[in-house]
Amino acid sequence: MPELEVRNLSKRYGSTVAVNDLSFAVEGGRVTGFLGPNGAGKTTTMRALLGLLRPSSGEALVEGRPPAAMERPLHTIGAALEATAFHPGRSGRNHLRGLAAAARIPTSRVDEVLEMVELTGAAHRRVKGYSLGMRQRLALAAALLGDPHILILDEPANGLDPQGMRWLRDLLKAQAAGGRTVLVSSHVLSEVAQTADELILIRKGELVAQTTLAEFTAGGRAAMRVRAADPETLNAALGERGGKVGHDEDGALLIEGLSGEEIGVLALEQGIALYELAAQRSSLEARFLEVMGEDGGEEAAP
Amino acid sequence: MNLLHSEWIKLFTTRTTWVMIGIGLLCEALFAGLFVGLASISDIVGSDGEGFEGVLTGLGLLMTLMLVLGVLVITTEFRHGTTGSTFLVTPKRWPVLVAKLGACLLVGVLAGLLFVAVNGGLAISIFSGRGGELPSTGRIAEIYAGVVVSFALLAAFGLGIGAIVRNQVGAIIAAIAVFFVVSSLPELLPGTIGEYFPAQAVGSLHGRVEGDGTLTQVGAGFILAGWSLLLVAVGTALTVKRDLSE
Repeated sequence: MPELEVRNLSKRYGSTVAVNDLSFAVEGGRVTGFLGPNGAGKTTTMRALLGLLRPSSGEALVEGRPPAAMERPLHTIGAALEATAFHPGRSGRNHLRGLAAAARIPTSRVDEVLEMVELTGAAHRRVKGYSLGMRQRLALAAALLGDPHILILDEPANGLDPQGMRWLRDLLKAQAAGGRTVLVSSHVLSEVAQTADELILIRKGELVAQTTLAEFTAGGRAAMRVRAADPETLNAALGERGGKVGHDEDGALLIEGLSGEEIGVLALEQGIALYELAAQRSSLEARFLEVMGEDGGEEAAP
Repeated sequence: MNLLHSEWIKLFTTRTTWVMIGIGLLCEALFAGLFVGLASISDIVGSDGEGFEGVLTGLGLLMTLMLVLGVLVITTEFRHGTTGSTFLVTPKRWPVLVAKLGACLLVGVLAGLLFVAVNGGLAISIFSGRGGELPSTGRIAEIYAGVVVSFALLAAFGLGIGAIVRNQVGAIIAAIAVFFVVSSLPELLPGTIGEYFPAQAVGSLHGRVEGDGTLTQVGAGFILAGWSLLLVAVGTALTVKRDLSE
């Protein structure tokens, strides 16, 4: 049984469709990146998994059951939804104390998680004075409070500096290595590329792909990059052989549909000197745009 | 109990609660000193000749503050988005509202007792020191008990409105409007119908008997409790049903 699952999940707000017939499953022991442009429905899906909103149709399941049926919710699932969801006048430690009391978690655990997210020094300060990065850490601390075996994190990298990003990656990897399930959303692929074992891509509320990182990049457009003495002639000849010719940013030819051997032989036949002949894969980011569409599928959030 | 503890922590880890109760008591002390100390005894005693209403000066402000405090117990969570984490701990949601009701009642009793301490210590001693005639001790105790109960129920009343309206400013305005304006309109109607609405019920709780009132103090307490619980019940039902997407 998957740790997290959505089945034909749809959520409509009036005439706006936030999530449309979305299905996927998330397994334990790995980090799953949940990717999509802003407004793709990531937050809505996560909130449905946490039982914070009611699906219009379909269902969201935690360990095979609706989220409201969890017996010890904070020990099952930890969530960091948005870094702004704190009372500005309350200290970080007191925010956690309130949650801990409700879940019968001892205050000693509060100090433990504050230590984990490196907020001990600021624990008694009011959240009002926290930076965005510190709020992200506090949200993470709240997620870790019950030592849950599932973590749902919505854009946890927002507002983190490079050291913070690295710290977050290590934390998530350690959590997954300990057998926990980690679902982490982002609208920037590079943020999760170094952490995620598996990717779920959504666009306009619909599933685009569920794949591993390796499969995802391998599936990209492969082209041969060619620089030659007489590019026009070569270009025409390549076209005749069925190659699809494009141009790289610096003016070099990008040829799809022909192998390196075919291009080399053709150049020899035409008597054109080749300066460069190299296989090129689309970058992660280019691949992301390829899958999401050039506009990135951007649209207003409901 | 754990949820009530959690709500208690939330209440007293922001300055708002302290500041509101503090200001209320400070003003109460000030009113008591100024009005009871300086007004003529006949003004304090008023037309009913019993004198106690005048001694309870400053009550209206604390009543309003209790109403607002009750509103804040839930609307601050909506305003700052902490409902997400709160309801994640308690996905069934309704127990949170029950705990909030408990916290409102407790904080109301606390504020009520503090009011009694300040009013009893200051206003009564000034009043009797100036030769004013007090009702019997038993009567005073009854009235003070009514004040404590009314504070608790007013906080609950605010909580109910806050859970229904959710928007902080909107809910504060709604609570004050519903309590002080809408619910006092029936007083204008002929007969005793007004007694069954919150504003006049609080009056009866405070030992004020108007016109041809028929309700006992205890009866008025039940009436107000009924209104408060009804609002909290409606608010709870809505909270359980609603999406939390802000």
